[in-house]
Amino acid sequence: MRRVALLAVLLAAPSAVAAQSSVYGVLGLGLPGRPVGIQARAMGGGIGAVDPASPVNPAAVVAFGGLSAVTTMTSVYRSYSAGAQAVSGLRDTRFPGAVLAGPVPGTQLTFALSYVGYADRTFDVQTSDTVVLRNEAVAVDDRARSIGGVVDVRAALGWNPRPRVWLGAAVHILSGSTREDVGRSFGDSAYASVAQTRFAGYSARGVSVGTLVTPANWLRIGLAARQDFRLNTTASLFGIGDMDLPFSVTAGALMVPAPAVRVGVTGTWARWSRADDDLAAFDGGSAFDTYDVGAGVELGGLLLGGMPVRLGARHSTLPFSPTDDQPSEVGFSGGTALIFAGGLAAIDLALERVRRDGAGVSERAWQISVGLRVRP
Amino acid sequence: MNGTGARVAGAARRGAAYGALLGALACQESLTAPGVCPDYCPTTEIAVHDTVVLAAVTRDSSYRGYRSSWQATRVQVTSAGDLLSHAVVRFIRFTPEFYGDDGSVLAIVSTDSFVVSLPVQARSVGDSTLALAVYRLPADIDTLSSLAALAPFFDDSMLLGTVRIPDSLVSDTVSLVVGSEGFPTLVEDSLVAAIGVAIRSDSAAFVELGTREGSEWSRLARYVTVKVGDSTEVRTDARDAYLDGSVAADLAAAPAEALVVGGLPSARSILRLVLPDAIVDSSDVVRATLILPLADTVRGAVGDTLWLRADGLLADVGGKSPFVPPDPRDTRGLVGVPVGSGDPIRLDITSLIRAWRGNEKNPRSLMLWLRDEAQAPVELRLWSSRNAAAAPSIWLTYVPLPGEGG
Repeated sequence: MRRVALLAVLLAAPSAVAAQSSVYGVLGLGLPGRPVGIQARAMGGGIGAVDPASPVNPAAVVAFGGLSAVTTMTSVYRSYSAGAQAVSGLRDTRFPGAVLAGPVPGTQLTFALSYVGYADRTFDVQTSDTVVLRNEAVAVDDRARSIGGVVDVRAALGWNPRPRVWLGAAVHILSGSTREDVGRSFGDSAYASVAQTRFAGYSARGVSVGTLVTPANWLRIGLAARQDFRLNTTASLFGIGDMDLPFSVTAGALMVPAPAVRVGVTGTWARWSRADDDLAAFDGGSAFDTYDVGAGVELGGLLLGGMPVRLGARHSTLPFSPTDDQPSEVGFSGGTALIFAGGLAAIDLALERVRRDGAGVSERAWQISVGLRVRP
Repeated sequence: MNGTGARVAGAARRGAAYGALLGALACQESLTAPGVCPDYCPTTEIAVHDTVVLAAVTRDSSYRGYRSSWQATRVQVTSAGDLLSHAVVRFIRFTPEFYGDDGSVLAIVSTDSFVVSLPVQARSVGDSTLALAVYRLPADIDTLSSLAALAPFFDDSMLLGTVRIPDSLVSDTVSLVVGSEGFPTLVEDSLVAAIGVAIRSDSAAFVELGTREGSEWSRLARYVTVKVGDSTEVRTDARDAYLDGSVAADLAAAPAEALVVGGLPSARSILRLVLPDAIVDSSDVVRATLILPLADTVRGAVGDTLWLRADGLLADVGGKSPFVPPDPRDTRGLVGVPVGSGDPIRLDITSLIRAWRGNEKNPRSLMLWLRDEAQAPVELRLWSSRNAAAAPSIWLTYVPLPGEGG
């Protein structure tokens, strides 16, 4: 029955698609995903460096303790404005991550297999123009659509040689595809419409290492480093090609000042500027280094039924821009959890309000995330 | 199932239920948005190319004998000099007697009158003197009858009467009452009657009459007096057209390097196209226009329009090539050519060329023919590829497929 429950959880996580869409997803490789679980998401990402459900620090998988499965779903409702143009009512749903983890019997090792959205390249853009055909001006309506992105599949091993020191390493396979459609319809019915489709493929590798140190019962510190290697791209309609992926470093801490109180802060720096030359060659935009800093607090048992309250805030920058102005993102989040079976299962809920600004665009989004954790 | 497993299973079910509920609420996707160009529009360009392929046609040929006027759905009666055309109709044989309600034979005492009904389906406009003159023709006319052989019968001595075509008439049946003397040899002709119809007008004009192959056709009604017991009664019966068509003057020969389309019997032309594979197979052709220079001014009834069709072939076996069945919803591949025009004909063949993309089964050939074949003694004369200075050409507008240079 435990295996059946676990299999049901895994089957509920369909094949990987990346994280939320954004108007910034048109740029470069797309909108980078956030490799955080729902608990961490509700806490602004503040516990990302130590959270086992967040595929950031491979050493953190030791915290699973037993066989565990996690799956997540996120729905996004967003709007944006660019100059005089305002667009609202955009929405989409993604399944940005899942984790399956458990101890390696007879060892001090814990394995974890996970996927998380690495970059989302989903957009659907319509434009109108006039072209001269056969010496006559003809109105045209163009559509450029991309569905898909890049997913990070991670295989991690954690090792607890000592009770307060955990080590971990992981290999990452970045893979994905986008279905790209371009179409044009003409205002003059004498011209047949154009519809072209291509499937672009992406592949890359990466490695990460990490450590978790618990110097005191109320303090846990996490540190991780990751190197992603060159991304290979095939057959894109939209001009994207091979590009260098970043090196990144994450550091964070979790503090438990009181039995039902957890406070976390995590920061990540990623060297996306490695892709600048590649981007200039095919996209004409710029790639910048990024940082992501988040903090959050969890207050246990404050709600009916002992449900915790989670709050958080974060600030980050985005890697791609059509200009020299680097966009940034601010998020405020909250959440809770429904805990069942004495903690063997739980549903985590997170609500985020995100603001992205920069390079001529302002975007606002509400993101609703649901995660299911099972420990058979 | 132990207690822990039951709790986990129950938790999984509740979790799946919550997840399904939220998924149902959030499942609708709406991503379409206007582009913020150029900064937030994907880097792609739909490059539209234009080119005229001059030597696009090769091994073009004309074939005659597809349809005669006796097989047309309408016949055109014209008054123009060298395009003179008369309609001719032979009716189904009448019976020599009538039958009473009890099945008894009723002897015909006398034939009182006839009514000739002619279905007018189109006519020229602007001539208030337009009328149809109906003549009695020999009962033995057949598909080999010619204008020259029947000319003596289109004489006032054989005139049965005239029917005026009012200006307000666009499409209707007109009738002519003919006295019993109209068909004096009806009995000798084995009760078979035949008529000819000619135009009478002060200016060039035409009228189109329906035929047996169409939706309406000519009829001849007979009114007779029959003996019923000791008295007499008037009875009537009618006969439909059995054979209807037209006789017309022979057209002058077309130039040697010309293709012909139409005429009597009708001719069709096959054009074999030579187009770059990079365009046909590796591009989205958004518009293709076949340009056909005329070898002769379009001649026909004044005010008339000839409708030229182009259809693809399932196989190219010359004159007997089968068509690709045309899509009735597709209005491409058909162009109206006004009588009197001397400009090159521009025929849209976009659908035809798009159908060839990646299709190695169908030949890259098309057949030109008149939509209203054999209805009138008119034909289009087009310069063939043998006239290098005026050969047909194709104007292509296309978008190369991704990864193709175009």
